[in-house]
Amino acid sequence: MDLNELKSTWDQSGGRKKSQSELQWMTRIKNHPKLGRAKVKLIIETILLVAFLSVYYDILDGGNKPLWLNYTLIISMLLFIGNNISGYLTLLNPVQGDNITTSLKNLKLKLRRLLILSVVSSFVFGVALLLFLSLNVHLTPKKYALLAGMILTLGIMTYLSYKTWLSRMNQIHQSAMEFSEAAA
Amino acid sequence: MEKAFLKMVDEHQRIIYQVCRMYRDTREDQEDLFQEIVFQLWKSFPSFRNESKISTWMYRIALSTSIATFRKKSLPLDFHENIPEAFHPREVEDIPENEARMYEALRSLDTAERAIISLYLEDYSYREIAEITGFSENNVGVKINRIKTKLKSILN
Repeated sequence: MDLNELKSTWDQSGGRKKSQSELQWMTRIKNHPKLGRAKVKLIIETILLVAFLSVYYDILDGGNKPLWLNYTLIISMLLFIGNNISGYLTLLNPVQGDNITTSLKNLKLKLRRLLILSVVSSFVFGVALLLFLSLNVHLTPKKYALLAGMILTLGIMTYLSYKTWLSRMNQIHQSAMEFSEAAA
Repeated sequence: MEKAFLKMVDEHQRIIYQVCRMYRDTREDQEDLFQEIVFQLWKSFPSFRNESKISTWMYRIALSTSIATFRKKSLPLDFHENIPEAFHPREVEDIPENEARMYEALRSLDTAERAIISLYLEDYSYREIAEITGFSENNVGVKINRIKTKLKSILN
């Protein structure tokens, strides 16, 4: 195949034409292959965390814990929720500039920020929660085991969050490099 | 507004199809990307100001979306300098042989090269390609010559 043939093959290539109703279906977020699920997950997580925030003080004896710990727990939880929302919005808006090179550069910066913030927010929220649950509590072997389980879960969750954002960032980093090299 | 949008995408959906075929290997991934591009076009449509051609705007969004959206990890590729005539494992059977061969060749280019050559094949000027990609016009010219040489060696 020479380049003329390539050009004519390109001009003739085309797939099955989609109907306007199919196209309209594709414009709805609930039908999106990934974002629909991500949105539901975000809403459920946020509702659960906000519900916890509104009842934790009474259920977990917030009055018996130091004020700074109450504030740390609330702020870290809000940071966690904020980061989740920011992550979702980034996935929702992958086009971030007037041309492809700028768009990739901006997206890469956002992903790097999200990577750092997701690790920091998961870690701080987890530590604040653990401190809150273990402070002023008589620890029995059973409670120690429970605490160890929670620490392990926290570690795994932080690691998974880190891995997810790192893999997204690496994908964009590779393409951004190719575009930067071509632009240089 | 929705009617105008659907009419526009309907008329230009070949652009989306070609970009999907260039940036994704499997039919399933191509369909997912098609949907993602339509979704991103719909979101960006209110800010489309008619300063550029509709097709130019569509190309910019479609290419940016293809490159910036996250895909499942695929198995590592074995790169061959020449593509055997009858070996197109990722393409499905109902696609013409020449077309399958062309897309296999285009997918062996890097992401930036794919964007440039698709715009070139669509007869965009160097200036328009530079505007969409963010490269200088000189770079576009140099790149196109390199890509042509690369494609010749892959396809022959």
